[in-house]
Amino acid sequence: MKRREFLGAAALSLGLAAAPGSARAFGNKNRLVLARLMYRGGDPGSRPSALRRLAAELIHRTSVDPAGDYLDAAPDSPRLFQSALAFATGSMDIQPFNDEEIRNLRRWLGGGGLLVVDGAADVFVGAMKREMARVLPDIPITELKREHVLYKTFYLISTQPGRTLRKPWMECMEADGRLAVLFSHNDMTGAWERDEFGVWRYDVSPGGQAQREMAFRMGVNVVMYTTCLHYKDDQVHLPFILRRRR
Amino acid sequence: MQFFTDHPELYNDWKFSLLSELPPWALFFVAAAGLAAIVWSLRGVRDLRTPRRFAGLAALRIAAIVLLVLAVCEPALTLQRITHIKNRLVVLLDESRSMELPAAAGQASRIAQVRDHFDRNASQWDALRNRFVVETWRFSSRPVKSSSGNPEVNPAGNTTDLLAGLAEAANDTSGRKLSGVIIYSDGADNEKLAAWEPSPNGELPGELKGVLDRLKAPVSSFGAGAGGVFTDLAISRVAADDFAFVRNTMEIEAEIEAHGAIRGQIPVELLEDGALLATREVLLGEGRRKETVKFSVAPQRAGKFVYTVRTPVVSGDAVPGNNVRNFSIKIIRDKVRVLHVAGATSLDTRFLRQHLTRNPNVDLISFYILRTTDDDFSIPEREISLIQFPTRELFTQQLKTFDLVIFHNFDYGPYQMKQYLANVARFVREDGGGFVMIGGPRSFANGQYAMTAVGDLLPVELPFSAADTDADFHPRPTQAGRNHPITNLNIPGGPDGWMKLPAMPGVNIVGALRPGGIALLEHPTLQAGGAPMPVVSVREAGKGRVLAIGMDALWRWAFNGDNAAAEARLYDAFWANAIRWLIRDPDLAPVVISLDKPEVDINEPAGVDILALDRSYHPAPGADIRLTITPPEGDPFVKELQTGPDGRARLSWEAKSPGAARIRAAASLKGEALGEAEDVLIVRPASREMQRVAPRPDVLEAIARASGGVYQPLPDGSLDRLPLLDPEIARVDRKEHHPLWNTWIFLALIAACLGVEWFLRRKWGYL
Repeated sequence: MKRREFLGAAALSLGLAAAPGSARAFGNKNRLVLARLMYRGGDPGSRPSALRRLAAELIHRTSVDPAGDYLDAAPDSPRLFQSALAFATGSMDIQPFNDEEIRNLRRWLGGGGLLVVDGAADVFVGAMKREMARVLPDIPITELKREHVLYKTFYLISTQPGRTLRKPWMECMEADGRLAVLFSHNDMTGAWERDEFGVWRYDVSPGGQAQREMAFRMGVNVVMYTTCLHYKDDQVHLPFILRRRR
Repeated sequence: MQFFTDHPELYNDWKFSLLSELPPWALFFVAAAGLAAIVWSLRGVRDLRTPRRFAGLAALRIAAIVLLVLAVCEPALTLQRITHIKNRLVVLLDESRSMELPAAAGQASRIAQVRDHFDRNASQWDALRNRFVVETWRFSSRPVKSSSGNPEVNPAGNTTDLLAGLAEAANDTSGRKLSGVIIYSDGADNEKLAAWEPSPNGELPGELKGVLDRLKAPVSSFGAGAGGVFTDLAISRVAADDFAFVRNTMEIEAEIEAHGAIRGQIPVELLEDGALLATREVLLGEGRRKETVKFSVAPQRAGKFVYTVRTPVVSGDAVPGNNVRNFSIKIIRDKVRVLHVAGATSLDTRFLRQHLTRNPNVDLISFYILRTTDDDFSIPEREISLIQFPTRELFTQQLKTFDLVIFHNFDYGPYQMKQYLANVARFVREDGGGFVMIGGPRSFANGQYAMTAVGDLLPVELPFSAADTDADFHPRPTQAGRNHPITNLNIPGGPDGWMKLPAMPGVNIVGALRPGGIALLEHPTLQAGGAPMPVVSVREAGKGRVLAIGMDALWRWAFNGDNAAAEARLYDAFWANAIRWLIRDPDLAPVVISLDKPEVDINEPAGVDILALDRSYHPAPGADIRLTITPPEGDPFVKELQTGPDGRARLSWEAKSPGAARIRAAASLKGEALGEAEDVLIVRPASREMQRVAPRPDVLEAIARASGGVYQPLPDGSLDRLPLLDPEIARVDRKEHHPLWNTWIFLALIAACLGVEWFLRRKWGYL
């Protein structure tokens, strides 16, 4: 038996779907690009290596084929449409969105974009809530239920991890039956940060490295949600997931 | 009258009138002033010694004042000629085919009853014609005015529409008042009053009430065929949807009517294309004249089928033809079952999934590979949600349950699936399934599909080794692609609009088109087999269809900053069209049969229109059409036709027997088959008129009662009993005024009154 077939059979016997690496010749532009929202005011560039680290983990852990680097896009930029997943990080208040920023973000979110607001401080999350309420005025901000598919798109997760554990839940805005905006209070991207020498930039508390691992898992789940939506809510998956949750 | 005019023969009436042009209030003032003058003048003579003197002077003064007031009012004698206008009397004669039926077993026809009634009441009719303007209308569907006024009708109408007849009576514009309406009919309405069951409380259908309100005249009727015994068993109504879904229960409802001596359990059968599906029994008899039966059927196949509801023909059945009802129902698949398999998740996977899950007609089963063998396997199984990819179950047991299979950037190798590729090919070629291969690093040649059963399905040749390029490009439509239902997308800007869409970042390298392959979109620079390399291509493979998309970034059509593309919903339109084409949606067939009417009567011309499209979905002029018509009875016959410049051919045909006629059209162009289509034409055993032929005296009676008329069954019934409104309108044709106040007599009277009054006062010493 060839090695590839052996590995495939091994994956099947483990009850896992597994495949060899892809040819990856279509170029970076065809890969999934993670975007960073460069809003005005505050500190939009406060987590410079987090998205690169998440991309590396995706390559290491999943079949998703992300671009190695991330994309910086202003709220009013057409570049935003090169990605369907953007992260807004920060710890300070931000400048209010202008009309063009609101118009562009509304079109991006309405077309299928998902914005993850990840705050290192409540003042930033509060400011983003204020602005997103202007972008999507008819959509309320609600608590993300534990039963949501986001908690099982790849990893089975039961907590809301990050660099901190200030709030054990996320909030969201849903449009057209899918997540449009996620609000995290626990500085998820802070847990992903490394410095130029590969050293974790921030300590994670109170859970230490286990908590950091859970933060990455949530990042993987967010990307999986972006690429296959409610796939794990399909009937075929439910008995397996329920059994493993027990 | 001779005193005032030299031509008294011109006038037949006179009256007093006032010619003064003063307004009424001024005349009132004058009259009041005259009254005041009378009171004042009487006060002056109230002390006279004798009542005779008082009465004499008072009378003279009052007469003088009255004459003066009249002079101001200018009284006149008006001579006039008055004509009294005759009212209308409308007679409605039913000339529908049911009037040809015997009034009762062994008796003359219903229409003969009507003629006989006219003959026996000729003198009364003459009297009515002297009194009224009698308008006679023959009605079946649209009323026609009869010039003769005699009941010389030809009862051949295919419907009975009492409301249309009454509405015509109400629509008169002659200005004559309507005195009444007289209906001669069996009352067997089969239009808007067909389902009406008159109730004792006199409640009327809204439209009938509106017409009667507009008439404002009594509607009387003579009921034909009402007195005798009429025997008929009929399917008076069938209710079924025009279409239903495979494996879903549909309801068919039939109303059975029995008249005469029919009683007992009557079997009612439902057939599909001549095969008995179900039998129900209805109990009919005294007090159970009409019953409804319901059939619940779950059709198992898609297509257009002929359903028949029938009852046996009973002894003495007046119209055996109304014991059978044929109708066609188009059975369509309820949902398109789609198997979506992706070798990795990406935004292309996500947007296609989003499209498929939003489409209510799609039942989606998806399997996405979330982790490859190159990825980290150190995480315990209990902490992840991944499940086994059930290849064996999907591609052996379940494959035939799908209508469409999509391989999305999927390579079969790692899953030991090579043995199942032949099953996929059979699913397409033999079972008529649809197959889509979407590009990506794991697809086409990269997925090692060359020389495999699935690779052989594709519209394009595949190189043996992995081949792709990451250069941006704008796919452009081929000539065929501009008309093909998948890529005929009405992009803003026409063919040039494709260049304004987001660029595609890379493409799978493929070879030339296979025989039967059609390129819809091609690469602007890359070549394959001496022609531009196909990027999107299609092919008929056996009974099924295949679509190949050599890109995995179509999602950019759905998600970009370009408003025009988003507003055109390009992505959704592309996939909706593709699915419809892949599952052979009849609306996208290259041969289309259009019937002028889905149902016709025997001997009624049935127009059949055939449209032929070439493989590029252009109208195909000069295409040969072989039309095979299988009539309800008799052998099939073939008509050879050729399409005109618009790709259409036409035939008119008359069926000679009732039932279902199957029409099959096979089109070919220069010897190459284009496709086939089939439709069903229902030939009614009896016209709608003959479906419900039982006399309905209850309908005629209810109308009469509601309008103030009377109902009388034929052959009896008298015209003398009919309530008719008398003429009320009088028209003044000529008029002449003769003033009375400016004559010498009038002036002499005034002078005489005043002079005598003065003389008497002088004589009696009151001056």
